[in-house]
Amino acid sequence: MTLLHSCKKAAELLSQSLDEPLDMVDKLRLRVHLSMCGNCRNVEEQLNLIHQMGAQIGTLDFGDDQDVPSIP
Amino acid sequence: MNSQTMPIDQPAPGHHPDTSGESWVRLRQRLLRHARMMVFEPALAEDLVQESLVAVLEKPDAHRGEASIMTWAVAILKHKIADWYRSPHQRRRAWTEADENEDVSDPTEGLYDEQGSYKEAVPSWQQPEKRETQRQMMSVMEVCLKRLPSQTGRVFMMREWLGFETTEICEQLSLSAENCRMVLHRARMGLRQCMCAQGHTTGSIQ
Repeated sequence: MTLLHSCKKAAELLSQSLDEPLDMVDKLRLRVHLSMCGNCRNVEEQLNLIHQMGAQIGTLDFGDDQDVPSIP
Repeated sequence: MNSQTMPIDQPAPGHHPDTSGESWVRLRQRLLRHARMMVFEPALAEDLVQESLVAVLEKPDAHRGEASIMTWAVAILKHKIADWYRSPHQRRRAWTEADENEDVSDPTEGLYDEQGSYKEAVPSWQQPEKRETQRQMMSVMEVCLKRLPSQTGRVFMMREWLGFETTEICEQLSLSAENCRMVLHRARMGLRQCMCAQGHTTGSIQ
């Protein structure tokens, strides 16, 4: 197994992991890379948040009008 | 839920909601905004919203368990849009000629050096805890979604908003798995870059 040095490739794997399970080798390479790379950990956090927010579009974006029913 | 905490938009059980009210106009507008992002034909977006509103009106009490009429209406709209994407005779219309000619440049261009490392430090986002921060962030995300090439935005919405599996998206839009993966990756990277830039100016993202 070769080490994953490229953040570019790491970002691709991070995105892919939100849609399908990665194979063992990619999973491991990504984990090792993340353990050494703060930038990629931040990207991981951002992509996860975007993933979570994507499902909530339309239910949180009340913005200007405050009198719309709120979510408990 | 007692009457004191009942939101304005929520009709009392057994009563028909007032469809002429401002809140309904706003609800309709909001649904339209989402529908237009998903289907490119304005008339079709209108139809889907209309059908969703009719479904809300027909059973004003049926949203028990949902937080608000708004959340419920959005859920109905999602179903209608998902059904539309899944209906076989509509399939070819999901991808238009305008899409083919669209600028789909790689949003990550210039982001990495030759080794594939980030040229600039990636900022850390804090998990938005306060509702107000969540709202701000959501509106930034919506602005950024509109800036994506429209087919890229639509694939993102099919995956994240409608919750389609990637295999289904590939099939519906006749894309290869590789292509599908790339479009989703570009959508996400485009969004995070746009949100970083927006957050920097509005201060809503740290």
